[in-house]
Amino acid sequence: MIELAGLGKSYGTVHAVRELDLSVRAGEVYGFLGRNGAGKTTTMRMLLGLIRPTTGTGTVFGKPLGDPSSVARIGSLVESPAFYPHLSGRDNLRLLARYSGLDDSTVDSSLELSGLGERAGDRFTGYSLGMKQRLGVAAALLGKPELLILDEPTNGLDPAGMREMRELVRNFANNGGTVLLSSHLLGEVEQVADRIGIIHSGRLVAEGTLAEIRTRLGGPRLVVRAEPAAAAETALRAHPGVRSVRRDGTTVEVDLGTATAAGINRGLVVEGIEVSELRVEERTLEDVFTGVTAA
Amino acid sequence: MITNNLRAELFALRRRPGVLAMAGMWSTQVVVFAYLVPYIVYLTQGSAMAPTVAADMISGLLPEGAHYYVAGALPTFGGPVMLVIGALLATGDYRWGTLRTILGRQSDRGAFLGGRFLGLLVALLPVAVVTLALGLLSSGVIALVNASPARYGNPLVLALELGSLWLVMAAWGSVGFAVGMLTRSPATAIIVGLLWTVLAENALALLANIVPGLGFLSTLLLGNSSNRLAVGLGSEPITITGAFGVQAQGTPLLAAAVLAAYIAAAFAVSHAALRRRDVT
Repeated sequence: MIELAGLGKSYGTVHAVRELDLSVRAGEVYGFLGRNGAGKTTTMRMLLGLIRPTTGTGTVFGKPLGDPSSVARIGSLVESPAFYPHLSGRDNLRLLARYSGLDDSTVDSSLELSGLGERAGDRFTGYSLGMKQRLGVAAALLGKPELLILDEPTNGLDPAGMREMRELVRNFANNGGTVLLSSHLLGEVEQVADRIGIIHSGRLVAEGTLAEIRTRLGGPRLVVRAEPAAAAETALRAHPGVRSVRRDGTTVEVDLGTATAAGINRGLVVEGIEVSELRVEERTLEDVFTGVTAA
Repeated sequence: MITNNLRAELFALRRRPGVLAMAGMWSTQVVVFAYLVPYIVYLTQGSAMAPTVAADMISGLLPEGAHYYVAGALPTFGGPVMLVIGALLATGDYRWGTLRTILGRQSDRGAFLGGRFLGLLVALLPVAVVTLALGLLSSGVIALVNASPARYGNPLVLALELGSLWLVMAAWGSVGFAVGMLTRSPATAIIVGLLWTVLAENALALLANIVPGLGFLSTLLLGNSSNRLAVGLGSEPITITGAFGVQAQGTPLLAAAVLAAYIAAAFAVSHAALRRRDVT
């Protein structure tokens, strides 16, 4: 669906995106993560043909980036929603529908889906941030697109709105659509994304399912509370298969590597160390994100 | 594709307060500055004027000369208004950030620009009709008040004058549009456009008049060509001072061709500006 190879965008000596290889498959929700200024929005703009890459190539629906026939099949919300302030939400959508050669009937169904129905007749300039965001989503859904590109779609939404957005994204994918979703709310992405890509300083530094990336970064971690903690740390560092150990007071965090929790427990007891807690923790997306973008 | 864009532009134009306000301002100018103020001057000062001057003044205000008289006001007062309308249409999307919303849905920039440019040209047609209608109406009222005969011109001449009005408006609006596309800022576009049409064109016209061999330059200027169409549709080349003191040289056909060239050039410049530009 989306294939990028060595894509780059430079502004003078500043490289916003560099050598980006990325692949989004049909029917999946792809979580596109990165810190502020990592290059997410620039990449999304290149996908839509709004800005032109300085290096590399890419295709969407098998067509070059920005090709009108492929952009017509995309619904997008990139950065903050921008609409005509003097027009109502509904009139803004009617205008966009005309640009795309769509019927006015598509407008009401999009408004319904976005949850803006009641306030659709109000002027855009009077909308709250959340309502503007909903209108942006309604615009993205106009004309039943096959691919949604959503840049921080939950900005300004209340918790109920965030849940609705999550359901909307998931339902869209369940009905055969594809979603490229960027968000700072890693928990949100974790709940809806089939695969994630992490961009850092303009480069893609990790891509795959969350489980794949967790494994690549060292798999689950073991939290050990033991006395004396210093002796426990020394014993754990010497334990076969353990990848890394970090102590914080009486708590020691262990990257298990090939070791097992049972083996470690046995080893500590043999050393005469008193173990009060032993807990295996899966790495969250936040852990993964922090690990990958820490450099 | 371009028809979709034109449909969208006409939908948006009917709802653009800035453009509607400028068109309304021009209509008010026609009635107030072209008819009301001169008629008040005629009523209050006419008896003190030389009889031929007073007769000329009232004849321009009566229906018989309305088509020529209204057009005469256009380059001086209406041109800058049309330039502002063009600049507003070109820069609004940069101001509101809506260009990325539109081009993120349909990325055919040529069709988008074509639709918008055509939208401007189409929108100026009712403005031209209203301008002429206001001229005819105002002159009719003056004829009634002045107890003068209300003889309107030949319909064919009126139709030609309507076409001329539209062409002059379209040329000024197109120049404003192109400057707007280049500068992306309404204020800068309006300032640059007005400086060019008011100051630079006058300087060039002056240069053309005093430097031997540069006389042709005058006929290529926006203001001169507008004036030439405004002062009459006779086919002879002339150098004339028409209504509102406008200066004009050349034939109406040449003037029409020059104005059409301004429109075409404005589209080409706008297209070149938008085609390769990153939309952020």
